[in-house]
Amino acid sequence: MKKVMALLLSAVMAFSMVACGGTTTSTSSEESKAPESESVSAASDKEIVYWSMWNDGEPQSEVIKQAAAAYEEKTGVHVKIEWKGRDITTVLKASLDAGEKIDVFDDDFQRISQQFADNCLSLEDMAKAAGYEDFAVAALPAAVRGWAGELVGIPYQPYTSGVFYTKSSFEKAKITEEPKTWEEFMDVCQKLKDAGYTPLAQDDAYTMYTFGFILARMVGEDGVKELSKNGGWAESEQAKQAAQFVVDLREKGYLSETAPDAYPAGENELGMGTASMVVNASWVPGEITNNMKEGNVELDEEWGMFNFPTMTAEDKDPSTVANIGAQAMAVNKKSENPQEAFDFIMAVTSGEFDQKMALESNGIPADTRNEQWPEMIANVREAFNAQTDAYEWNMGLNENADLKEAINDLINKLFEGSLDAQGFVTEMDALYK
Amino acid sequence: MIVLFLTPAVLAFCLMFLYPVTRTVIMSLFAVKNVTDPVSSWQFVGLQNFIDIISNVTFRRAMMNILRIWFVGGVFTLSISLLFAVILTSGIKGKRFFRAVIYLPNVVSAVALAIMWTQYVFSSKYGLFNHVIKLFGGKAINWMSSDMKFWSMLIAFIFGAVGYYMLIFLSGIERIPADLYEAATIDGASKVGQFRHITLPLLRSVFKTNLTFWTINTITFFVWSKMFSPVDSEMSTMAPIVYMMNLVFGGKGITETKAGSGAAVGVLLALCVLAAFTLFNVLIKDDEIEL
Repeated sequence: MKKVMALLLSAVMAFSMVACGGTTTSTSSEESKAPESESVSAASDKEIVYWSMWNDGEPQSEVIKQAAAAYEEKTGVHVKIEWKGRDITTVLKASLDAGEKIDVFDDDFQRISQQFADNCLSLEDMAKAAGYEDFAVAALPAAVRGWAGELVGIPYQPYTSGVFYTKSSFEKAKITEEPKTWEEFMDVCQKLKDAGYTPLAQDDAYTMYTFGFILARMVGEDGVKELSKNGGWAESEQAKQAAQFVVDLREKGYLSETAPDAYPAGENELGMGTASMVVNASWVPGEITNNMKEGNVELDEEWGMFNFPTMTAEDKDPSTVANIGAQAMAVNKKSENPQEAFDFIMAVTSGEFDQKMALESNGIPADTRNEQWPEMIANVREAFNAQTDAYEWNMGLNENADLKEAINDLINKLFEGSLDAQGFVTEMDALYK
Repeated sequence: MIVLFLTPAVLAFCLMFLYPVTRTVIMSLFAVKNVTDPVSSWQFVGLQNFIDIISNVTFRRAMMNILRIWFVGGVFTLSISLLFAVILTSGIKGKRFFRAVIYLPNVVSAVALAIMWTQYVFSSKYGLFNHVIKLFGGKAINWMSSDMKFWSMLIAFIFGAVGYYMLIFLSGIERIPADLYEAATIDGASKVGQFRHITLPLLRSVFKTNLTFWTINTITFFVWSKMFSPVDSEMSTMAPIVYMMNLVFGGKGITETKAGSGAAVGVLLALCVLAAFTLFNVLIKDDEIEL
């Protein structure tokens, strides 16, 4: 009996050690209160609890604190904010299901619409009453409805994607026109190379992103999803051609010799003035500027942006399709104060504080009435407004969750130059056997 | 009376350890989307979760990665830390200083260390390693390429781990009575001979302790993997715990969750730990001599 007990106890201990292994990242939350306002006259005993995906001290959190204070002053409803940071993803579902008092929470808008949709209150009626659709960026609530079937979150802090470049490099290379086709893009690359730049910076964390763009232009996002899910890469002429485009970039010296670099070393090359362009999302100018600031370099750079070019004459998608995304704030369906929670969301995601957040974080306003865009991404505006459709993150390559890392590995090898186009599609198909 | 004293501990143990462990083991046999899904929504699938993860190329690579970390990293970490411990106990000057310096990486956050390694030491363009290689006329290495990234991560991990194991070896060596060495010296034994015939045999239980700690550290390998692939998980740095996290919580751009499969990963890892402990107990006997 003693032996059985000993075995049982040691099994439990071993298991608990494994179970505790993954918890070393910072998931701790710091409780924070919105600044107390002295003029809360309509004092109410109502309180709403907001679990935030931001960390205290980030530009977004500073604006949210101000929005919460203003909301409290106006309504008398106290907002208790808990800064959970990005690890909110790992604690949110369990906390919501366990009945924790959470009224408002936020995360990536796709995760809110798919992973947490069951815990979200439908905001359709309240949004209609608030006239939300009149000022929303139409593609964002449409995407939420596409995933969840109804409006389960209010998107904010939107981003779009494309090719970002430093204007100084284009000027030095005497490039006056932004490329629209792959052919023009390659010409631009050659001019930049001749001017002494690495034309395209490429980090390992974004190889799927760049390759996803190339492939999605040719076969559309559904085509990419189909390849990712079921294979058939070698039979697809476009897949092979897409791989060849990457090989061309490499062979013509349009990528850095060490590409793909360890993130964020590649994109930082733009800040250091040695590279010119990067395929990424609209946060990248701000991110590079911050990275430089951390290295005590004040970056004074003007940024340009153009849509990812079209690849061939037979492309499925035009250049006006890009990956767009956002964060979304949602109301817990168990909330006892849903209207107050929704009103607080509106206070953060529209009007004055949406404008402020866009300016402070170098982001895009979610409220189309907010005319002011941060100078750093002012050039993004035209492309953003002209967008006709949206891709998901990695343009459909993420469709196969089981093989995602393996696909990423082969795409990295393609960018490194250790696989040619034929080798790439053959190796890709081998993953499905 | 004993029952009265034991009850709180037993209850706490059952509640905090036995219940979640039992639930996880059971969950591993069911198709479960989220950890908190009600049991009524679970669908029994038998061993299918285990079959799925074992046949998954990412999980197999993750297991291969930790096996390599355990074996290759273990050989280097334990050898280097033993070497340092022996040197530090050989009567060198500045022992306390060197001990502090070697242990220092354990005091610094692993996150900060990893950034130093990825952004400075391994940088292809201006990194320390390539700088030294070029000084000797060698060709720069792309330390962060998909083929090299795992080994770069392992080097960084070993650097961070050596000090911890060195301290354990150090305390083990210091427990060995000095008269044994004096007697051996009088008998004409060389330093190498003393190490082989006195130090090593008397460090057996310390070896077992270090091996056990190393195994646990390896199985729960997480932070370094995340730091070497900060945006999204990658094959070259994939570890089973990262794989389990991705299954249970989804990843970047992946919203599908499989808590049942995640539980199966946990069960498999626990079995690995148990197997390793059993093996150590069988292969490495405790010290026969009481010091």
